[in-house]
Parts: sequence; structure tokens; C-alpha cells
Amino acid sequence: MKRVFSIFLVLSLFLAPLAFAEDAAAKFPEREIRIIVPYDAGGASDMTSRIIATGLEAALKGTVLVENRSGGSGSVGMTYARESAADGHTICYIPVELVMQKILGISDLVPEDFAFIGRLTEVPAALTVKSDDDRFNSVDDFIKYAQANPGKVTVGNSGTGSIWHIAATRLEEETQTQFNHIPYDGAAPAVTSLMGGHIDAVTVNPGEVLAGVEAGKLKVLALMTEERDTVSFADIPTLKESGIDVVIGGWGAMGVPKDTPQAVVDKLSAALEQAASTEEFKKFIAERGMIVHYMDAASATEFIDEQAVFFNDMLSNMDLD
Amino acid sequence: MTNQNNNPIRKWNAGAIVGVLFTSCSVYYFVKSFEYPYRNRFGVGPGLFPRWVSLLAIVAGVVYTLVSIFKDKFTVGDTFPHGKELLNVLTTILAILVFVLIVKQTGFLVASVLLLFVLFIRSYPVWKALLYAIIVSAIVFAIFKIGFSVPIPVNRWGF
Amino acid sequence: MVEAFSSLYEGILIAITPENILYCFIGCMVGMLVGVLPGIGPSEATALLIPLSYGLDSVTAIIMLCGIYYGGMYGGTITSVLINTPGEAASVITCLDGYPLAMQGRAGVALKVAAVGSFVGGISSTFGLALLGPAVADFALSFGPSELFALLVFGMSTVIGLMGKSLIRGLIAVCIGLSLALVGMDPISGTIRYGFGIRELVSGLDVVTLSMGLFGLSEILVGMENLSVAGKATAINSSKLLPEEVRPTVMSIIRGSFLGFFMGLIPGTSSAVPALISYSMEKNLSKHPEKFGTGVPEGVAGPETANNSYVGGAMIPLFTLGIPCSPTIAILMGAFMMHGMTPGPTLFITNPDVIWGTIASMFVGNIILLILNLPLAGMWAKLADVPSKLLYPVVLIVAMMGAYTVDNSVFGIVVMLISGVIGYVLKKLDIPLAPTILVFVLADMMEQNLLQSLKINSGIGGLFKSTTALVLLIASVVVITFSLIAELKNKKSALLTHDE
Repeated sequence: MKRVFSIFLVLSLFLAPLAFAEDAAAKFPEREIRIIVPYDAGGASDMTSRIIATGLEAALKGTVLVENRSGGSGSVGMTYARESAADGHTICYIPVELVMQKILGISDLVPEDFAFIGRLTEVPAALTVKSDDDRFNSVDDFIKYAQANPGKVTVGNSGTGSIWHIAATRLEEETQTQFNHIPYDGAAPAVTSLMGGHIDAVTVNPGEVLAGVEAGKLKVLALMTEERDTVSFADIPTLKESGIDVVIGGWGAMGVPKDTPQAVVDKLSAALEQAASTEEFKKFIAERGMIVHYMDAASATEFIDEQAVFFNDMLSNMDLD
Repeated sequence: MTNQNNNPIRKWNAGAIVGVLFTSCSVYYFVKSFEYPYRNRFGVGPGLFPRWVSLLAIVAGVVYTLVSIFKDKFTVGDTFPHGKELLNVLTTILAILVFVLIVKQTGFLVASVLLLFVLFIRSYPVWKALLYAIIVSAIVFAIFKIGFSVPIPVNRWGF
Repeated sequence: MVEAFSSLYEGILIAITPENILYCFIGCMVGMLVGVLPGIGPSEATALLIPLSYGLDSVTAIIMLCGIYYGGMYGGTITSVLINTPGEAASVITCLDGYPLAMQGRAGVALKVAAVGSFVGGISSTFGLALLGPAVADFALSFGPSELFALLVFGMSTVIGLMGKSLIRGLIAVCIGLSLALVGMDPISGTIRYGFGIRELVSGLDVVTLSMGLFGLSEILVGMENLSVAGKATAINSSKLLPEEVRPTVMSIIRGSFLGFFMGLIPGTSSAVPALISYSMEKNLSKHPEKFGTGVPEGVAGPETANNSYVGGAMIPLFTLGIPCSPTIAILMGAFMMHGMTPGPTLFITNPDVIWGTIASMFVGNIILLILNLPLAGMWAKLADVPSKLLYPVVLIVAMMGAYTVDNSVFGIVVMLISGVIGYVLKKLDIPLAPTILVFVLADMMEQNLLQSLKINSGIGGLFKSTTALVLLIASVVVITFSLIAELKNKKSALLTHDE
């Protein structure tokens, strides 16, 4: 009897974890979750991911880490995330660049590679120059100078084919100018280079130049939005006000590899909504020149599909260099 | 002169072999660099750096091979170990390979104990080798898995 | 200046509260631990501990996270000296003379000069941070792509000094490093090069995995040949500097402090660069350059000082302009933001207590680390007495886990195994390994900056337009010429005595 009992004990010890392993979704998260940010630390996507990570931690009651894998206009990080285990423990910050990857021939990434768990932000673009650059005191100065010196004005962006590269190209098209586009590994190094006077301008998110503006090193000439900003950049005109019809910007969403179980996606989606609706998040984003515009998993997926069509149309008529 | 010198491999010129291997790899690199555009529509292309680097490597490889043949001779026999020593090195390499192959199925602890046991058994009695292997594996497991929450592969029982 | 001192005084009052000292201590200890463990570097540890810091006061949290950063610099030395395995790129150089010292039974000496050097470097760069802060930030910005490329060329040219006895073998090592660096996505256009269809290679090879293979695993393989004679340090075990070694060591520490500080200011470098340049500078200034690589204390002291001094310098662009200069600093920047602060010039106005408290805590932390390290140096050195039949397998499994951690996949272990076997063969053929890994670190940055410079200036002109770049390029040519002459001379005399 004793023997039977001990065999039973040993068996149950071995089998117990098996029984628990059944319901993966209920147990999720089993370990730490990593958010892959496809750009360098310090940029808009990085800041958004880091603040959302705290919200996710509270919502999921687990550890959420942020990992930067920059390079190739976001393709390094997104490719890495796409290939990660589809168990919900690897989330990817999805920037607008995802829908352009294939069109531009940068990588074979397509929106269908991911299951989206929600969209968080809209990220407007702004034209920024050095504050002591006397050539450019307004958008008009900038455009006139660029028209007079085709190919001479160097404009930094966060990578070839990045949304900021597209933004600068849109400006070129609309004003019949020609810039010299300089790609960097993310917006932060481009802004640093601008501060040092190595390039003439950047077309990145206003939040990414905020510290430089506060330091008196940089000045924002114009925002590429429909309407003026209401928080940190309220006195900056839009390009539209100057009669240049360029409204362009990125957005930030979150996604997981496409084969992730639906139950896990739902759980993450709910957690993301909770994290995105905190006052802390809204304040943080607004102060950094971005706009909180949450969309749930279904609307985000629909939106991203639309964006893919939109950019496909735009880019096929665009001469990027 | 021991009888091991009779093995013809031991007289081969190790430097020259490595030199030729290196040069061939560089030639492959060079050929492959033509797949990447030297210039593209964005300006300087991704082919520029590989082209020059592989050219430099080819030159270095050829010179090294020549130097190895005519001046600094490293024969396999003088350079690399033989007999038991060679066996020790190969065992280590093989043990790591086995670890890599089985770790996903067996989990970290089993694979690690096996790897360490194979290495310890060469200098310790069986019971000591096993004991050390288990203790070391457990500590490493605790530091990485529990301390730093690294997702170390585990089996269905969690270790 | 006076203002800085009074602010610093306020900061010290904040830093020496018992709670802040405690967390500073915790940060330093964790930093040292991760410095010893391969694969987990300061940037990973900082990222891991950020969530733990939420419950803390913001000053306390930042103090702890900074402690990890500079504590890691201390820890990285230990494995380089004792088992010839650098835990991170910054300590590759330390192996060159640290390990030979340990083999002579003088591991204690190496660890002590490293600890003192790190302390002096840490303290002096913290002073630099406190007093010069904003004033030197502009110097940092003057480094654009052209200047950075020239600086990296200069770094690369100093690698020649590390090539060892034969130039051609050194060149082979350099070419291997360059070729390995090409693997993965190219920094400008995103083309995947030499990926062989393996997805893990898309983001390139990892420097920690490579150096653990080339240095660590190859060392273990050599040792496994015959465990009873392997890695036996001679039993002198003295931890005192010889009288004639004191002066060069002190001088190397002073020079390393300045060098590291200024390198830290420059965005886009890594802490391996000041260490490399410091080593080469010491070798060129030394009366006995031929002894470098055989175990000279100043070869350890200079680079170790420089990489710690780098930390203080790297904080300046962060505090004054909101620019993260290195990966760890970038994560630190995230920590500031999580605590509701944006690093940048306004931080001095909005949160002076945090800035000055943090700066002051770096003094406290460096003192803690020195107190910890001097007695520990002796203890760590005893580790060299652990029989290699026990030590080597342990190091092996820890290194394998480190390689796994980098990507969380066994692919890292495979890469380490392959580079370990390559390293073993190269070692046997007397091909130096340090140039390979250093070139690997520099090459990526070099290509990107070169391409940017070419594009900005529509041609190669940018490299000659900028005075800084031009000076650095000329200096590189000078260094290469002199090293070549010196190497050839050495070789001649070596041939005369050695060969027939």
C-alpha cells in the first residue's frame, strides 16, 4: 500500500505541471514580456513604448521590458519580432513604416505578418532647423533658399524610407525643391547632428526636438498637421497656413506575430486599452508633441490596411532619392 | 621523433591551409558583394564597403598563404595537439554541440548536467563529477532564470 | 563655478541620506555582478531594474540605476584579468596585459590598479561633469559624421599597435573582424548582406557572443587540452606594484581620465574606443613598448581608467542636451522619463535636486566601489587558484548562458561555438584576436558615418573641410607609420636573435 501511494505521489508530482500547461491563455503572461522597438532609444516610438510598458505592467501584473533593435528603417526590429515565438511574450511597436517596407523594397514585411492589438498615437511631423541659422527664420525663407539652391539643403531623417524621409519628400514635391536627404539610425542621432550644424534641417516629430528647442539650439519652423498643436508647440504655424498643402505624419501601434493565439491577443488588447487610457499616458504623449488616438484591435487592423493602400498610391508616384 | 610523426597529416602546413581557406572565403565575399549595388538611388550603396573590405582580405589572404609556405611554417603536427589532448578538445566541442541539440527537449538543467558531467568526468571520480555538475547547473539556473528572468529553455516540468 | 560648488554641496546632502547610500550600494553591487556575468551587460541590467525603481523616489531610483552603469565598468575587468574573457567590448583591451599579469601570479596587481584607475577616472570625470557640464556640451556637438568617421579611423589605426609580432597576421585578424561586421542589415539602406538566409543573422552578429567565443571559448579549448597544466598561475601572488612600475601606472591613470572624459562627450562612440586609444597611447609613450602584452600594469590601468571616465563624460550630453550617447545612457534616459522628467537643459531648472543628487551620488558610488574592490581584488585573485579542471567547465556553462541571453536563442551558443573554434585555430597560428573584435566594434559605426559624410558633402570633401577630421586623419597616418616602423624594427631584431 505504502508503495502504491509513493508511486502515485511521484506520478502526480510529474503530471501536475502538465495539467497546468493546458490553458496557456489563462496563465498568460508566464514570464516577462518584451516590447521590441525598431528604433533607437530616445525617439518618439521608444518613449511611447516605455510609457506604455508601465501601463501594461499594471494591467497584466507582470514584467514588461523594452528592447531597442534599430536599423534599416525599422525593418531589423520588426523582422526580429515577426520571427519571434507567437506566444504573446514578444510585442512589437509598429510604426507607420511597416506599410511602406515592401513598396520601397526595404524588406518583405507586410501588415499581414502581425496581429495588431491596438493603435496608440498619431505622430505629426515638423520642420526644424538650428536656432542660430539666420538663413531660415520662417518656412518661406527655407523654401526660397531651397529653390535657389537645389540639392544643397541637407535634411536629416530617421532612415531611408522612414516616414520622416517621406515627409521631406512630400515637402519637396509640393514646393518644387530638391533636398539632400541624409538617413540616420533613428531620429535622435539626426537631431544631434542638426544641433551640431552638420545638416541643415530635420523633418521629425516635434517631441523629438523638444529638448533641443528648450536648450535654445533648435527652432521649429512649421508643423505638418491639419491644425496647430495645443500644448508645447501652440505658437508654431502649420505648413497649410503658409499655403503648402503637406499634411503628413506617422502613427504608433502595437502588434504581435500573426500566429499568436486569439485568446492571448484579446488579453493583450484589453491591457493595452487600459494602459492607453491612463491620464499619465495621455499627458506624457501630449507634452511630447504627439496625439493620443487609441484604436482597438479591429479598427487598428482596418486602419493599417487603409494606410497600406494610401502609401502605396502615394509612393508609387513619388521619386525618392 | 615518435611514431605519431608518421601520420602524413601532421606534416601539412597549417598556416597555408588556413590561408587558402581564408582567401577562398574572401573571394566568395568579393563575388557576393556584386549582389549589393555599389551605388543606388539613395547615393552610396550597400556594396561599397563589402567590395573594398573583401579586396583587402583577398590580398591579406594571399600574402599570408605565401608567407606561411615560404617563411613562418606552422605544420599541423607542431601547431595542434594530438592523441589524448586532441581528444579532450574534440570532446568539449562535441559536448557543446550535444547541449545545443538537446536543450530544447530536455530543458536546461538536464542538458547542462550532462555537459558538465562529460567535462568533469575527465578529472574527477564519477560521484564527484555528477555532484559538481548538478550543483553548478543549479546555481547557474538560479542566477539566470530566477535572478535575471532570462527565458532559459525548460522542459515540461519547468527545469 | 561657485554656483556649481554650492549646487554640488546641496547634491551631496541628498546623496548621503541613508536610503540613497543604500540604493547606490545596491546599484553598484548589481552592476559589478552583471559586469562579471557575460551576456548581461549594464544596459540589460539597467533595463531590468527600471521596473523595480518605480516604487522609489525619483532621485533614489536614478542614483541606483547610475550605480549599475559605472559598477558594471568595474566588474567587467575581473573576468578579463582572471580568465581572459571580456564581459563586454570595453574590457577586450584589459585582457591584453591583465591576463598575462594573472598568469604571473599578479592578478591582485591587475585588479588593484584597475580598481584605483576606475576610481580616479570615475571621480575626475564626475568633477568634469559637475564643473564643466554645459560649457563642453558644444564640443560634443562639433562631432558630426565626418569627424566621427575620422575618429574611428584613428581608433582603427591604433589597432595596428596591437597586432603582435607579425604584421600580416595582424592584417588577417583585422580582415576577419571587418568581414564579420558586414554580416547583417546594412546601416543605411537596410539591405541584408551575407545573411545566408538565416534570420538570426539579419540584425548582425553580436559583439558579446563573438568575444566570448573568440576569447573565452578558445581559451577554454586550449586549457582543456591538458587540464593539469592549463592556466596555472605561478604562485607568487603578490599584489604590490614594483617600484619602477609606479610612475608609468600613475601617469597612465591621469591620461586615461582626460581621454575617457572627452570621448564620453562625443555622441555615437562606445566605451571600447577610449580604452583602445588609451592603450595605444600608453604603448607609444612607454619607454618599453615591447613589454606591452606581456603583463605591464599601465596597460591595464590606462584603459580601465578611460572606460570609467567615459561614464561621467557621457552624462553631459544627456543632462544638458537630452542626447543619449551610448545604449546604457539611452536606457537611463528612459528611466528619467518614466519618473516624469525629460533629460535636457530644463532639467537643471525643474529638478536640480535630481541632477545634483545624481552627480553627487557618483562620488559616493565610486568610493563604495573602491572600498569594495580593494579587498575584493585579493579575493577575486584567489579565484585564479581554483583548479582549472573545476573552473573551466564552470566558465564554459556561464559563457554559454551568456551567449544564449543575447538573443534568447541557442543560435547564440552556436555562433559562440563556431567563433570559439576559429579563435582556437587562430590562437594556435599566433594570430592576435584583439584586433578582430575591436575592428568588429568599430566597423559598423565607421561605415555608417562614412556614408553619411559622403552624402552630406556630396563626396569625400567633408573629411578635409573639417579641421578636427583632418587632424584626426593626419594623426592616423602618423600613428600607422610609426607603428609600422616600430614593428619592423622589432621584427628585425627578433629575427636576428631568434632565427639562424
